[in-house]
Amino acid sequence: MKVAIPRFGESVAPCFEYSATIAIFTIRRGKVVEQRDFVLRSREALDRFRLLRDQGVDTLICGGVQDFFEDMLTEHGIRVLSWVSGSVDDLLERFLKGTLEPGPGPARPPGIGGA
Amino acid sequence: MDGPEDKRFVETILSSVADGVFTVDHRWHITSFNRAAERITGVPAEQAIGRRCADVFHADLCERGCALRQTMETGRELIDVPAHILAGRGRAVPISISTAILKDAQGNLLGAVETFRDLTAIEQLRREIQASYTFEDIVGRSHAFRKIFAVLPDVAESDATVLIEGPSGSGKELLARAIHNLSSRRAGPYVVINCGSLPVSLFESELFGYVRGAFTDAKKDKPGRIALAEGGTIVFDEVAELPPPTQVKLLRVLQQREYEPLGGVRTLKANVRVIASTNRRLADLVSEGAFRDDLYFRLGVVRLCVPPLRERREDIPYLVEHFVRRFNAKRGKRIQGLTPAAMELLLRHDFPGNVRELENVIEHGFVLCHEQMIDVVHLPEELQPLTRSAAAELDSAPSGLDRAEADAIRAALGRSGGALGKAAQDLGISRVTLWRKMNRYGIRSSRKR
Repeated sequence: MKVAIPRFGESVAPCFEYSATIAIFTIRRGKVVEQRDFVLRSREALDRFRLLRDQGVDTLICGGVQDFFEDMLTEHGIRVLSWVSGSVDDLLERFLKGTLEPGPGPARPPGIGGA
Repeated sequence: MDGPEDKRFVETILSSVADGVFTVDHRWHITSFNRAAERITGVPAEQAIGRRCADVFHADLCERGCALRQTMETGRELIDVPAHILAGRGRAVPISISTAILKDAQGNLLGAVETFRDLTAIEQLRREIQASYTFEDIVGRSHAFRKIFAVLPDVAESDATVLIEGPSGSGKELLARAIHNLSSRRAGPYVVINCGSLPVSLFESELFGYVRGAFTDAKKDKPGRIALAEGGTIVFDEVAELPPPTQVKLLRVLQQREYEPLGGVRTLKANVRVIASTNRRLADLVSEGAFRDDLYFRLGVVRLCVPPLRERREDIPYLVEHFVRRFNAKRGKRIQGLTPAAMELLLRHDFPGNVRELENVIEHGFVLCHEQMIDVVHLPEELQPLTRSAAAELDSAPSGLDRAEADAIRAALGRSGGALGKAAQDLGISRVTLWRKMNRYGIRSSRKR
């Protein structure tokens, strides 16, 4: 299984679309067996999507992400755990333990179809 | 300015300004967050204070050149730095940022202050003027739209001919523009030719152009639309209306990528990407013999279908939000949204005019509404609820189809133990659609808590 985490230093990057470095972890039997950092010069958000797709990533753990990118990833079978914050190591550890949940994200505007 | 009175005074001033204002300590943790900052980001102050600013703003600048960091490192103020943040519903909000350093009375560094202005309205108008739409402008989270989003990166990357099918007003033009603006041809021209509005006699000269002397009135060379779209994208709108003789000519352009202007002796290369759109099902026209099958297959290398709005009602709240933002920008209003009753009415409506009709409904609401929320009374008359007697008459005579649908919903809810998500999945509809149908038929979920 492959897990991608856009990183900014030691922390998860604030936003998936704008992230310059994406770390991809290969996990076997609950352990990280390989880690590769991909540095993206392009500012094109779609390039981040293509990287994940081409690398066969199963799960993306990220900070902010625009709705349609999340939908696009989900539609391609990539599970997205978004709107989380903190250190990459800590997030990965929580993911491996099965305790990582998506964050709440920003509030929705009042009175518009929200629950 | 240290006493509680002074603090309250400063807070009152900050909460009344229209720009977002927040302060951070030297480790980027937010120490204050005004009301406008809450409104623009969608994050309440109590949730923002104490968190790192990057985790609240999710800005493009955080990684590529944090304005606050620069100010704290150099001591210099920054003014009107453009940036994008992610706000409510993961929407990118354009802002401009100004920063300054914060020191105490003794000159010790406390942190920094940032003010930011929401540029959504300006950006919205700029996009409309320049038609610089991307798929961020295609609003929808329904299953049908997710499928379109999923293929868009590949469609944009390729140079393949695309056929967009969908009813009038469903957003085919927006999708075509987004494909162009995402493609490698985005710097090139975007030319639309409406196949339904041109007489057959003019179509050829309009498409291919002509050279001087080609016919009596041809006083000088005139480039055709294909030449005008050189290096860019040409869209054949209402392609189903192309008469058979012209279909052959378009087929040749698609097959050989070359054409001859009327009266010309030289064959020209056509370096264009072709997108065709239609509100009819081309496959049906092919089987009726009204449209060439070879052209149909050439056009439909990639086929995208935009469903009517009634088949993706779950997108209505997102579209409403989009139009409210847009009309606020255009009309300089601050309407926040729709009341639940008005939204309910829209969710029940069939929208034969599709997204364009919904847009008109919201614009109608903007004209009549002088409050913060658009209510039922601000909507067009044809959407207003039926009178009680008319409604009762309708309710007393449910169609067989309605009864069957209600029975299917009850059965699915029974199987799922009352769980709406499972029942919706079982029925192959969205949760919102299920909820709407349950309301319509007066079905309640009997889930045990």
